[in-house]
Amino acid sequence: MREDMRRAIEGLGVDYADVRLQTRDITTVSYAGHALGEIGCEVKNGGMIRALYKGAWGTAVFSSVDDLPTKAREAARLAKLAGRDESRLAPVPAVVDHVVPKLTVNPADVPLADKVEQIRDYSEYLLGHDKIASTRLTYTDVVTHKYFASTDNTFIEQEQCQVDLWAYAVARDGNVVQEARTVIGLADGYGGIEERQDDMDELACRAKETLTAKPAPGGKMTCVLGPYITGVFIHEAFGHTDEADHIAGNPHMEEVMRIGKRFAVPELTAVDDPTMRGAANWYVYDDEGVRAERVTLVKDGILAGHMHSRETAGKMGEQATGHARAWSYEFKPVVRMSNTYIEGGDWDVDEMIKSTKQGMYLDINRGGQGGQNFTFAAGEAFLIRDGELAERVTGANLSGDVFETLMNIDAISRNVKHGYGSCGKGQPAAVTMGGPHIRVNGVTVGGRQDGR
Amino acid sequence: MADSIKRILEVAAGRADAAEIHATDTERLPLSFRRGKLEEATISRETSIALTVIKDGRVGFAAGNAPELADRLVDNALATCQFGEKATFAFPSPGPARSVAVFDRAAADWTPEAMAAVGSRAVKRLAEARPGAEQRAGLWRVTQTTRLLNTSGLDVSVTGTNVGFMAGLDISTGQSLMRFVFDGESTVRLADLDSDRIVASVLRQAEWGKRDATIAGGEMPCIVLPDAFANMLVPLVVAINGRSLAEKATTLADKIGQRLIDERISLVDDPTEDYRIGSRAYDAEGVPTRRNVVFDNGVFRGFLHDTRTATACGTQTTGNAVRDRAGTPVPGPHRLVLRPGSDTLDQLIRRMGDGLIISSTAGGGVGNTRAGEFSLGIMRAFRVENGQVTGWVSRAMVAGNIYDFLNRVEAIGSELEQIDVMTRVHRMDTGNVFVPPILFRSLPVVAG
Repeated sequence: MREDMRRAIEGLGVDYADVRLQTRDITTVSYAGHALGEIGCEVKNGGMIRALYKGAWGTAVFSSVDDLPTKAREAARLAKLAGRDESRLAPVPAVVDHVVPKLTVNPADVPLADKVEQIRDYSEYLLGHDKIASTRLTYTDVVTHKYFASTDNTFIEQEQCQVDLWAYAVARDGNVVQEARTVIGLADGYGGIEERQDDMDELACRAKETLTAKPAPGGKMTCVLGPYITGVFIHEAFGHTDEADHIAGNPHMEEVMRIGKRFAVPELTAVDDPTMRGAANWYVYDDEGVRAERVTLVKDGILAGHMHSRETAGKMGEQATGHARAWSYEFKPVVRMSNTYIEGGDWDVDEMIKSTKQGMYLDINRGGQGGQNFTFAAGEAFLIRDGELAERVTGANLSGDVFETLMNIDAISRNVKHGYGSCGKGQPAAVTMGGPHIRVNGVTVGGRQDGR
Repeated sequence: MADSIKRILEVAAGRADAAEIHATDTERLPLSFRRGKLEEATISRETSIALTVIKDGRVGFAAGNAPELADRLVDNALATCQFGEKATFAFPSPGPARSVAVFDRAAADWTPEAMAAVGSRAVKRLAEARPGAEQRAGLWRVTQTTRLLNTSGLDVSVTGTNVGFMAGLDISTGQSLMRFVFDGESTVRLADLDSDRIVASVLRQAEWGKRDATIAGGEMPCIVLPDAFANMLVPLVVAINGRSLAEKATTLADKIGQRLIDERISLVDDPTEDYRIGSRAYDAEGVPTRRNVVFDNGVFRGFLHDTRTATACGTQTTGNAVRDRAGTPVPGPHRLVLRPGSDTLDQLIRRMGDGLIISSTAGGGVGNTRAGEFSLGIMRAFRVENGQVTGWVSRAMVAGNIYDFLNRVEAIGSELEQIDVMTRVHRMDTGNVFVPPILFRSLPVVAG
């Protein structure tokens, strides 16, 4: 394997080339209410060859590995069609390694029948709760074996295992229908899928309680964000802006995102850490064969680092950080976050709410979009009145300007939690997003401005 | 791939009671430009094979991407069979379908060199008009052969083409960032692809966004452009899906025949026209497609079904099975069109006088989707005063209910655009959805 890969990419007359091969087994089991929705096994094998010539990439994607040399020549031809400039890749040490994760239970060793039974049990368990009219649970396990070889003499074999369960509960009362979701994501095998009844209780309860909730009022207000919303905030609003593929080669962005600039209140430190073992998504090498590093994005409110691929680091004269990830072989590696979070501060959560006269408490990530203007939806929201949590409201959506918001944080709690999620950037990626509770002044909550 | 696919069916037929294979062979060639230069070109060639079997009255499914995986495919499908859903349906026999043209030789033969020339010309125009602005452009061509065969004797194979062009400009200044304007389209025929129109549209938006503008918030007239409307349509596209009816998760179940929205709104799924994105003679189960009216002058006419949801709901399939490459079929629109009106965008802007053009929204599919509700961030909008666009509005939100919004229609634009309605979270394929710009009398906008 290693020899075939090396031979295919040498002598192409390009500045750099690499090849990734992958085998991937995917098992999916889904339940909708009492009925099995979907069940299937997918085998997906294939590869990608990238060639870099005078600053431009030519790429060939294939599902049959028989004709590696032909594919390599196609990639080189396309690179030469495009290349007019200078290739700049940050130098990284050559590595030969084989990474095997420690798993609680390898999902490949769990009989399909057990998986089906487990998901069915959760679905039935949810349906046993008051007002829960329907459910949708999707379990997926993905066992991947990846091989990477480059003209820089790196050869890495990595095995990875991703297990996740997305559970939706739909509560109904007459004509009112409300849906809540919870997500469990694991990088250490099947073990953590079992005995999650508490999560299902919480999910059913949230869906049911939302039935009687009024729509959230709209307007600017003080918000206390729970760890999961804090996480999606730092991921969507700030993290994406700090991915160097948005920055490198764009003079305007290089100035906006210059290291050393103040971005947040001095109490705030934010990190992206692919090496966070035990997180639902950690890895040792990225898909360019670069060892992954913890990057401090913001230190005491000051911009401290960017997340890089070899190319973005090369263009900006910085070190590669191992953040170039590809969802599977047919996608090129692009700069992605991994486990992003705000570090804990020194506030007590109760104290934070007690000292808030009027505002809203939001938690649970329901998805969102980033950039300077961010928007994301909360799965759970309560009004805060006179320093106490008051009634639950529904449909709360947060938006704001990331720079203003980061400067308007006036309290950060001690304990950090991480939530699992999926991030889309032309291709999916498993990520975690987390942090402590934070309080922000003057965030726009989108709901009904008339408070209906 | 022809013979090896047939062999897998034969192997499966020998071990199961019935079997079906949905196989695709796809060649993609995308090119991307950045800052005036061709940055990347990719050629990709992929096969995918989805095998569905019925044994002892139950359904099994497996997928793979190489014919040499035949034995594993059949093993996997049979393993899932014992837990699979009850086979309440049979694989369809060949039925009479009209032929629908979806292949264009010029599109299939578009060379990387010719694509690069089109892209270079476009980025040159963008650079001349907006020196210094970060520009991006992309071109692609896709040729896909889809083959569907089953043990009921069906064996159909269709090859289609799709070519596309997109362009964008980052017009950020000062501390602002990612102030991005873009447009793009994809077509079946190369001759229908109009890169000049896309470039002109991008430059017009860049001009609109040159200055900043603010709004007070509250109820105001709004033009919602197709890209922004996509997120508002999520609840409706989910609600009309037969799967929602089968899961008792739609509020439209008892509304057939009722007028629910403005009588100028008609929504029709019609995949039978030649050379249109989304057109096809057969659906993903091999059932001949047809024109299905979902809303007829504001009156709800019915759901889109595949054979499974139709069986569950005691009705007939509407020929709306769709699937992504390696999944099981789900119901979804093929080519859902909101019937255009007669006003150009410029006419709509003049007609509105004062208000907001909402060009891009974020946060679709969240909020109480099942009840028709959404709550969206407005990512890109332009203020209009006295019929003139006066500047870029950042940070606003809009929340409401799609059925309420579609009763606030003032005028419907004439220019259809394809939009991306993200309903995947509901396990429904979006198919292809086309809408024109719509002028609303008033929408509730929360200023940021």
